[in-house]
Amino acid sequence: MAKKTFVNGIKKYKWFYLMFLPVFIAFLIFNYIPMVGIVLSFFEYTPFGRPVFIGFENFRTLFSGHSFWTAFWNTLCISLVNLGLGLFCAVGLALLIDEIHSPFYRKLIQTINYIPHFLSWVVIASVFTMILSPKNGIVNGMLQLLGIKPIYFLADEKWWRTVFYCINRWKETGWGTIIFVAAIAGVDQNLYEAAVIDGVNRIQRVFFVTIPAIANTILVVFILDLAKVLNIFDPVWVLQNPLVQRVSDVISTYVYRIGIDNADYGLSTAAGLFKSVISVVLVTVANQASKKIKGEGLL
Amino acid sequence: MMQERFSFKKGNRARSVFRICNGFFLAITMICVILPLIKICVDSIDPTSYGIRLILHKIDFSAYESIARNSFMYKPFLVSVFTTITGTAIGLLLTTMAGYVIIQQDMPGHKAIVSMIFFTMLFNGGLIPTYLTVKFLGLMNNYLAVIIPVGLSAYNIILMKSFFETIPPTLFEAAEIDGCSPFSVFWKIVLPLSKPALASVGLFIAVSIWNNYMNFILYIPNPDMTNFQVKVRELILSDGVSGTAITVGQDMLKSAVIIVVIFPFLLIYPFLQRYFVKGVTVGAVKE
Amino acid sequence: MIKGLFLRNTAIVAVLFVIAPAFSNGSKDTSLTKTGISSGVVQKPSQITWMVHDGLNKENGTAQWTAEFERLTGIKMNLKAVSNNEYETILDLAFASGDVPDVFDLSGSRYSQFIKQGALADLTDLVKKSELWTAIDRSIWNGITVDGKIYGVPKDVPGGTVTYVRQDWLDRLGMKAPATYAEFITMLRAFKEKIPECKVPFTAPGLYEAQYLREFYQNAMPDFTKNDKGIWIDGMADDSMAAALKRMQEAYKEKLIDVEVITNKTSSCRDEWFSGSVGVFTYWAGKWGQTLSERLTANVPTAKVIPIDAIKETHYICVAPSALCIPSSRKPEQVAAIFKYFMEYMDDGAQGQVLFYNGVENLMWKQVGDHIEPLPSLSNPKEKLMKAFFDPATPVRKMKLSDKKINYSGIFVQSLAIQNKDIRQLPVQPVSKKYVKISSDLIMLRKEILSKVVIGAMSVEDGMAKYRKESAELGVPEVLAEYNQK
Repeated sequence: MAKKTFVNGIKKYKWFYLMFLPVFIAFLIFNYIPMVGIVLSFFEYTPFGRPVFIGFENFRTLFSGHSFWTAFWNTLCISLVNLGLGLFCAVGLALLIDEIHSPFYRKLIQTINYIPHFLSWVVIASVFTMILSPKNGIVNGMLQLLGIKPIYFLADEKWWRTVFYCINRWKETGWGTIIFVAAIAGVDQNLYEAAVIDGVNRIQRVFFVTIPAIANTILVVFILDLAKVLNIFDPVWVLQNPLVQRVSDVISTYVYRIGIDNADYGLSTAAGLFKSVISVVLVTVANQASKKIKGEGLL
Repeated sequence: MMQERFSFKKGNRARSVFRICNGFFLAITMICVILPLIKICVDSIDPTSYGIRLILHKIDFSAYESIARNSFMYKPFLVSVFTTITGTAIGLLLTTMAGYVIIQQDMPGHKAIVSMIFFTMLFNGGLIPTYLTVKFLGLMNNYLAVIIPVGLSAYNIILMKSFFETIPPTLFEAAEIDGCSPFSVFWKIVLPLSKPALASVGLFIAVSIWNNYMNFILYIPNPDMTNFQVKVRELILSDGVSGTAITVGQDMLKSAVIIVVIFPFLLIYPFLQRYFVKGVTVGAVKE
Repeated sequence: MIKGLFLRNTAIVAVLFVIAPAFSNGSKDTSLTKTGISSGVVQKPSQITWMVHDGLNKENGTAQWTAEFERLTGIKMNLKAVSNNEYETILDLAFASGDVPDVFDLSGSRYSQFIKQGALADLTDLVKKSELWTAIDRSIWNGITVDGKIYGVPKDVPGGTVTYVRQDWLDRLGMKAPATYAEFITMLRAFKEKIPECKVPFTAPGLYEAQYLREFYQNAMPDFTKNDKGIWIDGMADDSMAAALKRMQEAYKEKLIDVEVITNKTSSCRDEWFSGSVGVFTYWAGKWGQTLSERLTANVPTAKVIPIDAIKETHYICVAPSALCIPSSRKPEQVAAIFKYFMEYMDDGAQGQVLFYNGVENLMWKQVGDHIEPLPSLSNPKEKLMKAFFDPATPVRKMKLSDKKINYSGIFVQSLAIQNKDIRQLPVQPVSKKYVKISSDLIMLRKEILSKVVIGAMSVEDGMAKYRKESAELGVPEVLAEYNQK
């Protein structure tokens, strides 16, 4: 009996399988075939010769590295804070933008705010190095007006992460609001009218109507971003320097430095595998939490 | 949107104050964003500019002229436009089809398909295996090697799925009763209802392809087929090693290409705005 | 379903992995006809593949250049121009996929690394039998000899840095160019106190690269180096480094060194220089000197720049030379052919050298009397094309032809002359497996100690102690043992 429904199922859904076929082939070619290369984590592999099986040696090298664990903790801290802050700012800004009624002003704000997303990190780093310069940067200029001595922000362990988060917000908040503005615009107007009838004031409306209505969007974006969070590289690489190594180094920059001279792809693949496994853990935890809280998860 | 009037009468005062403050706050965010951009603009037309000076001392558009005139500048720009447009079309089609398929909870193998897609977000074969695969499948110098991996991502598929899940199932049932094939349901019902989703995800795909340089560098070695972002990167990173010195012209060109590469999307977003209206979106409360 | 997918994928990739290595060992031949090679007679190859990442690109005439190469030699030139930034990755991928060019260049530690991996053809015998052995300066050959063997032909005379000073400020103060460290510091102090537009007396792009801080490092070196007795030591742990750190720390405290030196990049240093607020900057000799001077005077017309002789306590240094190499996967007769028809041709002191250094006649340069006059570049007619692939200002080998001189003027020539007076080549580090394992952590440690001590966050004694302790823990003694064995 079960077999018959299974076969029926396939017949019933045959068009769907067909629709999925091109996507399947694309993933096969660009993701799944190369993915077998993950086994290189267990090999000593450089571009010059045959891979040599060495078991867990790459992982041993990685984990016993002088600053690997510092980099690991930094990666978790920096990325998670960045992610949380990012969502908070993007949702907050989207809510504020929603309060603007002039369509022209709305478009203007959003268009301008999302420009930094298009700039490469190299450009952004050089611009902000100038802005934060202890010699003649704007920020220190303003501090001096207040009687505060200039601070060498990017070279100061106490300040680097704060500055890092701010620069990231500058670059990505505008872009992040796109999806939330779309979500807010789609909230059913009836809900608002019902709330007004119930005597709910404006601030309460935001917290009890708008946010719950877009909670699903926030959750989806959160979990999806969580999957990529450990891969952070570009912003750290361009803003790092030897004085702030201890607080700024992340797994990807650490592995990149090792890789520059050695061409040891077995080692960098092992690091990638490690990051993937941790990402799986993070996403699973988040998904389970969301199931408990909202009753359903992403998957 | 309800039309609100500014009013400083007793009950409305706080609200009006809030709206004015909000307007100012957002204006300040815009200024913060735009100042560094103004600096880059100034750098692109003022050969004497340096540091954080924002005032123009001299105006010289030769950098922009050279971009418009030189085929090694405008050809890659056209390649960028072409790959972005076709890539977005192809990517959006594949993404929406995938999203539509994975909301079919009762389909045999449904769980496997969803896992298979999500898995790709977490695990990656690495540079060399991917390169070898592309090379041995004969996809070098083929724009599909950029369009497919960049235009089709699990991230977007899952976003699309979430959008589609908010379409009332009653619409599907009605269509089935009418005897429509899944494909025509997809084409005639799902897509028209998903304008905000198509606009957002379409924008995401377009931007990813437009900004991409790595896939072009790796898989499109033919210099006639390269895209604009590769050129921008070359110019920005052409830092002097002993022997290759950088001229004033090149510095201005550096800034000019940054402005040029941003420009198209400044024009696009206002047009997309109209799609972000009431309709099916992620997060709308299900009936 | 997943199981089926997995099995199928594994099968496909297993097949690929079996096939791929078969491609990676020398099957991409430079189509040499397979006739037997009699001793002494080297068959001319029908084509050569060369991967380049600087010099001519499509915009300023690679098509014409390769056509000219074919016309002059009868060999098809397959030029692969790749972006400079991704060159290392692309070369790695070329090796991984078995599609390696016949000729490519490597420098510094990459050169050593490739040798260690057995990826390069041993050219020692070919070189020693060739004219190039005597025509190219022995010190340059030494720069690319590793463990007694030569694996490449020098691409250029290694570039070095010289110190540039604002002559107009010196004149204003009635001072002469410094000849000792004491005079150097006095000059910096004078700039800082008496020249109002001087915001930064001395700037540098970071502290780790000793070529940018000659006066401060003097005979110290933050890397492995050879002492007077020729034994390898860790320069960073040496007493000379303690003295250098002290000098830098004191100068930084007085704000004679740029406060932002830690976060400076070469581009930001140059920008600051062009704006006219920097007094002293140690940078590359030759074309860069000209640029530094010209762009500064464009902003500050009264400015004058001179390169100064090295102060008594130090000498200028140059970087490791880069070498053009041939992959080891080529057969010996192919290696000999490429060596003869490419390497010997590019440095033949005559027609070949002119082609590689100056380019195509009447397109990129023209003959004027007994001189070569560069012509406007095809991609940017406002500027002259100063080099094709190698810099004719500093050829590896002197031109045999007498009518191919080039006129360089002013600071270009001056800086090169000064550099050549007393320049030292850093010794080439041997290949060490241990070093490869610890290099990234070791360099990070050095940079950290340098930065912290110089800005005053750590005393010189503490810094040296910490470095000595932690570098020993990382395994530096083993590296030195390996180095000194060779």
